[in-house]
Amino acid sequence: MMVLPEFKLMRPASLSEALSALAQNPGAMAVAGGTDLLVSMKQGLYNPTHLVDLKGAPELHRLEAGEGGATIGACVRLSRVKNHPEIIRRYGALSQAADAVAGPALQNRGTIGGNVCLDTRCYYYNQSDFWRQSLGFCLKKDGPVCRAAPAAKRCFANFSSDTVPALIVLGARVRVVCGCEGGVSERVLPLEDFFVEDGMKRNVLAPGELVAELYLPATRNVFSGYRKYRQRGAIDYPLVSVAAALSIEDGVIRGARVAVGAMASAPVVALETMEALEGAAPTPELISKAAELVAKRTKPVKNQAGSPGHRRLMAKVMCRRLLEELLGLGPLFGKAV
Amino acid sequence: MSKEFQWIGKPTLRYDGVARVTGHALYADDLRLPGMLVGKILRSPHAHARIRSIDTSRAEALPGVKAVATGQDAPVTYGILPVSEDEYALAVGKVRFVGDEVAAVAAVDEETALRALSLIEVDYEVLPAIFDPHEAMVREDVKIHEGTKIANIERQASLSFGDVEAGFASADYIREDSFFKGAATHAPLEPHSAMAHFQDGKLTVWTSTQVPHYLQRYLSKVLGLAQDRVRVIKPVLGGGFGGKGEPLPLEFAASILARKSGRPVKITYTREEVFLTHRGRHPMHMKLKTGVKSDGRITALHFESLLDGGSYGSYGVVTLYYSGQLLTGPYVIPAYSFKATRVNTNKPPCGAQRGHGAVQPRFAFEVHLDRIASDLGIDPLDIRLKNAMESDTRTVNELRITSCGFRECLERSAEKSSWKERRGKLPEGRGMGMAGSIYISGAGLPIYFNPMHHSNVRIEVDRSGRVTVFCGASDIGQGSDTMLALVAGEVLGVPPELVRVVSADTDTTPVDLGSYSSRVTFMAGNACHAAATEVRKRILFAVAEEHGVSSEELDLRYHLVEIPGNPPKTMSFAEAAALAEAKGGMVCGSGGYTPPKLAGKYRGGGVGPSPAYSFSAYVAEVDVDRETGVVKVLSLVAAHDLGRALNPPAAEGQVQGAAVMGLAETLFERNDFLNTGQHASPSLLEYKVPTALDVPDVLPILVESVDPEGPFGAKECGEGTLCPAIPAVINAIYDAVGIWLHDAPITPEAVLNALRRQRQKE
Repeated sequence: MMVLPEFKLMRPASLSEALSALAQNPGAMAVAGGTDLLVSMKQGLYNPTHLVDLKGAPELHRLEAGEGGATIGACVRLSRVKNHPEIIRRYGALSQAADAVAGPALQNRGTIGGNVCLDTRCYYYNQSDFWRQSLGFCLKKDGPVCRAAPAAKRCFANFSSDTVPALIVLGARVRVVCGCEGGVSERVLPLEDFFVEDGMKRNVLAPGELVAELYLPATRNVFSGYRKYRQRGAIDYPLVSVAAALSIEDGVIRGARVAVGAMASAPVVALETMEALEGAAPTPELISKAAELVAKRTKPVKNQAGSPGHRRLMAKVMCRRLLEELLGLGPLFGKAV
Repeated sequence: MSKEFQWIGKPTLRYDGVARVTGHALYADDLRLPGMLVGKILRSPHAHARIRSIDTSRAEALPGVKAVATGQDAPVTYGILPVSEDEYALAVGKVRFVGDEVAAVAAVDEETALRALSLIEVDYEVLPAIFDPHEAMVREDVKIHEGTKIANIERQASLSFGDVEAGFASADYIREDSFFKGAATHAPLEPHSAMAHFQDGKLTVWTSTQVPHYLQRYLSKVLGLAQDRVRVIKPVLGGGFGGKGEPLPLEFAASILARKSGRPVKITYTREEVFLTHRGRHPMHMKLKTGVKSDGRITALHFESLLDGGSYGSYGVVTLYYSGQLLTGPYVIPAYSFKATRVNTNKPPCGAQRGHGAVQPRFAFEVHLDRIASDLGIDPLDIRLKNAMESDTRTVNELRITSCGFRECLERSAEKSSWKERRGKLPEGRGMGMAGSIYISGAGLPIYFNPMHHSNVRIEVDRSGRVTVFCGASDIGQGSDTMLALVAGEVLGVPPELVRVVSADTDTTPVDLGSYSSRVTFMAGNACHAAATEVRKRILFAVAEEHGVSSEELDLRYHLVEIPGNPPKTMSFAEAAALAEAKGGMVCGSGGYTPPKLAGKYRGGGVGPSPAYSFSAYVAEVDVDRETGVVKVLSLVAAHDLGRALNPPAAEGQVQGAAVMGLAETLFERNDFLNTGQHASPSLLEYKVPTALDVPDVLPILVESVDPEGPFGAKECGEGTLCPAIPAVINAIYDAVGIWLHDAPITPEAVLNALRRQRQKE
């Protein structure tokens, strides 16, 4: 077994305590389920002085979903998200995406906040210290150059969260909080604006900031779903993932949203596909055309199994199949409210 | 013994089953001794380099460090095969792959040991490295081992049997194909672990090994100890598959550190180290040429293989010969020649993995045979039946075939899968494929030359009726302890669950050569049968004497001695055992097994001969997604001739496990390396062992040909069952979508590329 490096574990009992623990210890990191972070620490990717366990903060465990929308606290377990009847009913894509994370044991441990903040992945990065040292390290950690794209000046590590593309197409907003004098400051932003197309920076969180909650708007007659392409039926991170949400009004598609995961360092909103679908009548030809556009804004590099070309192709296939299902041109997947 | 069996052929509870599933079983890493230290190994970051110097002084000065070892502590070569002893416990002079073992430390805890590793300074002179076997064949300027005559060719073999030229001349049709089978590794659930203790001039090593006896010999050689000063004990073991089938660096390192520090030392590998230790499936480039008559009957076969051996010899010379020698079955090949080459490259060493040496050529040949059948318009089942070998024959390379249920395997797998009715009538994207195989039931020769038994068993019975079987055989999860209890129990009329088994401890158990080459049931089973028969005679003789009857009139069944007479009487087994002890002293018996002399009278004729052969025929059904290239195996009908199923659920488990491992090597698992020498996926996240969701129903059919020399007629069941899984799937993919794939493992991308080429052709 690999050794977990030494750190101090802090177990605050409230969100404000957690935020001040983070503020007071610049070398501290927040941990929720720990399913990703602890592995990375064993590999020497992170060496925090303190781990601030967020699970003791009751403010982060709220899960409410109904007619008016949904609120999901950062520490809500993925299995709770997946099995919540109102999430299944109103936000099918999210339930499916939570179900696609690793396997049941990890879904019982991992949290939605952790999955939103999931580190980007790359096979030059997610390796032991010995392995990375033998290669001379990589840009994301201790090295001079991105091993996946040596000519580029940035890190191309892959965005690999399952739940985020689903949350984005469902219109999620994220509440980011920070400890400040006299309490807690916060900002709320659309989830797609939370991410940064840079494998190292990943998102807009500043030191001391935390994701506290996610908000989903009310849905009416929205069909949504999630498709994941991976090598095995469980455990694996996505090689490609596609989420979509839309409704049908007067025989045409309205409010179409499509997002692609695992094709860049951030989730990619497939604007061209959405544009093609919006206001159009759902026909097989339309869906094929729209799906063809889904990978337009992505340029994957060779840092996962499968060639970039194959992953782009799979994005189109996954997208078309998902849209077919949602529009009843295949077996119905997402259920309408 | 002609009566119905008491327990043979019925489900027997695993000897250690309850302990394993309740977590009470003690594996090597569970063991702890007072004062035990933790050992860690420093590994080379370079694929190929000369070691100019190693400075361990800073590591030695670190508080908590009790010993530091380098190659200079034991500069003695070893290797599982006497013909290729090219390894050191720790590197001497050179490193040959990323991960090669350079130095080791023992410290009070793991953190200190790791810190000490970082303080060891190694001055390397980096050398050019070779990763491609074709390049290794010709690069004279880069020598991975100094001793190779031509470039980096470790060994070549070229053999010819029968009149090959005439065979091809008489053929109506000749086909040639090339194939590549990539590397796979064992991925046992239990990482390797070894604990060593050196006390009073005696070394004891508890280790996860398949071969306690060979390890004892090599520890003796490398550490310069008399063999009787070395004791090897194998605790409960969590999967070997060949990866624990030879002496390994951690066993030497722990022993050297224990001797240096005077304290027990344990080394347990991380998962990454398990991948770097490897000794798994050789990547193999293969060419085949086969001549057939127009009715499909084979007239001649020529085979060539290039084995990428990685950095050291391991079992490679045997792999090389097996790759050629086992292609002369399960079909009649009247004329045959092969040429095999093993080269060294700067990657972890390849060695033996389940189906050793046979898996890659079997994949190639069975697909090649289907292509011939397809060219000639013959059903794949029919071409196999037409060429199927029969019992009591000899192959062209002098392999003696006794029992042979191959034809029955073909017929029953075809019947179960409704081959004739369903093939060709499946929906779009679905297909069926078939493949056959042959495998050895134990190597005919030991690894080092000696005239002694390959397996020995001692059985003791005390006055309470307690039966204990002592045997050096190494239960690695395959259930050999249960097999010993079952065989002894059947002969002695004692329920197997009451038989004790003491195994795999070189101080207390007689020598068995180990768990490799699918030899244990056949050889240890026969030795156990002989030992139990001796004990049975002792007991029955005592009872006969007491009752004034002939011992032939007595029977010993279901824990009772049946004594004829009017009225007939019975005596409990315990009473009979006590009687025997009273009359003749301690009741014990011993037995051994040596295979008949079967080696062919030619160089290389020692690899391939076996006292018996197993046979298999599988039918796979697949679904191919034309858009994604994803292949899903829907079902696998797996008929295997194992002579006799001693314990049917265990045998079915072996068939299913091997079949799944074969499917994994076809569709998921790739043991690849970067072009800088790093393992591409040294974790169970990225090395794709299939999950329960990826595995189809495997329907085992146990074919019982009842071998004349096996224990109760039993033969091999654990390895040969892997071989046909790969080609059965590849052949099914052809049936489904009309593409032939010659490289395994396959990827969805390879399927899509082949479909694209197919469309371009049309």
